[in-house]
Amino acid sequence: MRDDEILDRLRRALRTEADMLTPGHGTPRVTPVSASRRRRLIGTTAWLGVAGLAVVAAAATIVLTVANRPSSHNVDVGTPPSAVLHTGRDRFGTTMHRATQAPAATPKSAPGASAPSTSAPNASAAPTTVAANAVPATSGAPAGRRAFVPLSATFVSPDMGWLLGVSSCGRQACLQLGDTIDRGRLWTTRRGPSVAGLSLPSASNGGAVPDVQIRFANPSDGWIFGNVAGSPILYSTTDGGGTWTAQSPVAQWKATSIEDLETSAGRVQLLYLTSGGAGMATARVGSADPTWSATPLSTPSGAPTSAQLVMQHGVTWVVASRQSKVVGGAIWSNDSWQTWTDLPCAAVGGPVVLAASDPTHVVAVCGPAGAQQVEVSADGGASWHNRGRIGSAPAVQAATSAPGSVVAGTASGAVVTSTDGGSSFATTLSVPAGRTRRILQVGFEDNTQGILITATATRGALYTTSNAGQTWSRLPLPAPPS
Amino acid sequence: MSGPEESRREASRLDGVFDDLYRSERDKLVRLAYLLTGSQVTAEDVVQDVFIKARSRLDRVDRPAAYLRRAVTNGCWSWHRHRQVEARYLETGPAVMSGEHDIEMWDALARLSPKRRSVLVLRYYLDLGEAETAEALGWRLGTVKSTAHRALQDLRRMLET
Repeated sequence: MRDDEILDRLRRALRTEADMLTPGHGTPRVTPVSASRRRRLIGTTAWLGVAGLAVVAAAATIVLTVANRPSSHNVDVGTPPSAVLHTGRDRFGTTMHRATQAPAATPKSAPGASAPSTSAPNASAAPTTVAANAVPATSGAPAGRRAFVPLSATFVSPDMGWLLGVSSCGRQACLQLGDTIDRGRLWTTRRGPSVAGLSLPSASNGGAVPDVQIRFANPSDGWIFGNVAGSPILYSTTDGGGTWTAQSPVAQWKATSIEDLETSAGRVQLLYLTSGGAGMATARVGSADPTWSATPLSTPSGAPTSAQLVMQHGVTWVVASRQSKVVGGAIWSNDSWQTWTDLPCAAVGGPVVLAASDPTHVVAVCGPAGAQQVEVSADGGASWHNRGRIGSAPAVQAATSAPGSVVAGTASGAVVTSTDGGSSFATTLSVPAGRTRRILQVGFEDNTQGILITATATRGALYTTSNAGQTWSRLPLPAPPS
Repeated sequence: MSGPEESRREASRLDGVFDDLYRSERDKLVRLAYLLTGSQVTAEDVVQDVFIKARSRLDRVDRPAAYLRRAVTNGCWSWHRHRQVEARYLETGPAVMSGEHDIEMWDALARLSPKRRSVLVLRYYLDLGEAETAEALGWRLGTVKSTAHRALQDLRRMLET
């Protein structure tokens, strides 16, 4: 890139960003920055990501309320924006909506992520789970130094969550775990379980991101799962991520890969592939050594090559694809599996990326590249209606925060958002020309707040939305271990 | 004559100067502070603070607009310094994303040191010359030149990785 090209781009970027501000053509008086004004600003311009920074400003800057006389200052310390942000959102115990993704078009090396876990914690359990060995996250790594590469996030409330990532430790790559109780503004980090064979994304391996994900059911019980060096892995914790235990049933199922895992309503379910088929395993949450019961998935039209599981308020949808065909599906409700007969995308074919916002509203994005179709169901997957198209690149992730909302991450690295039930989409995160980016995860914790994880060849980024995916703002990442 | 009448007149004259400046400069300064800090809330706080402190001095300043710019730059600097102390809130600079935004450029700017970022914002957003930039930052001309050079090198490196 030539100097003048960089300068042009810089000028454009600065201007675009500055023009977005709507500072309000103020009264020619210094008016107090009140809490309500902050709330409005944050609410309307999606400053969630930077609001954490503003906490400092609020602490440091004494907001002066000025009367008309220059000498009469009424000193008032501004309400920290974080407190404001959380107003009305402290909803431990609220059932959360999430959404999920599928491995669909994503190669095995990229985790077909899913989304934040579904079930709500007990109100009394709240945010006390900061591990003894947790270290405070420190300043982000300087450019060029190896940092925390995010892989997967899970939230048990809008504020409390975990972020799984990899960073280098000595000559190899290690799993790292960040946890937050303020919606990702402040992370504490610790080591995750020791897993051999991980590698960091780099230019030499094409930016391949380890296929490992995390889910928590409540502040204590969580799982790390995925596929490393060609073998499935599954770990569980019952102490909020302090200690992790490898789960042996993986061998007994003869699983060749773990495709997905979700948790809701006191159950955890995972979806695995075997050499000729697929199966679902279910266990109760809250036991150190859970008993899993496994059920094979019927796939009459061929062995699946990818599959996805979406769980919502105790209802689960499983769909399996083989190249461009949807080969089978199952629905879990009332504590049992049934064959899903009215599968989405019957006409256009797969792979399918599914998401659901409640037990009746389900969204599927499917079809061949260049003709990605959105189908929606309002009856829990019994009937499907065509909506719009998302653009040329196939979807690799999908999420829905509420009926009417569809957010999709595409194979080209863009994020598109619909607020009219999937009929029309606007690009809400674009890919600069000539760059590559992958969308590892899109998910919602409730009907407005969501998380997005992206990866470039060597780095990753974490974004949040507070308006159901219409705008995204960056969140800090946990510090890599020292 | 002296006494309450005169000070009232003086106060009202100052109010006039202040109001004009506030009206003409405030939004521009908020945009500047936003580009320097990446946070609209912070930007508004910094600018507000500057106006409050400047109120009693403005009539003694030659070029009030340049004075305010310098004060806002300083305010953003102290914010960055404080932020370093509170190292936990780091890393993400600016952050609203939507289709038209050059996210990569933003990420790169966010990772520049405050010093390097400031010089780029003043030079290429406000389009200040090197001398004016030096004045706004309170630096020597040579420092502006070398910092700008390094900042552009950083940007290039980050954009090309």
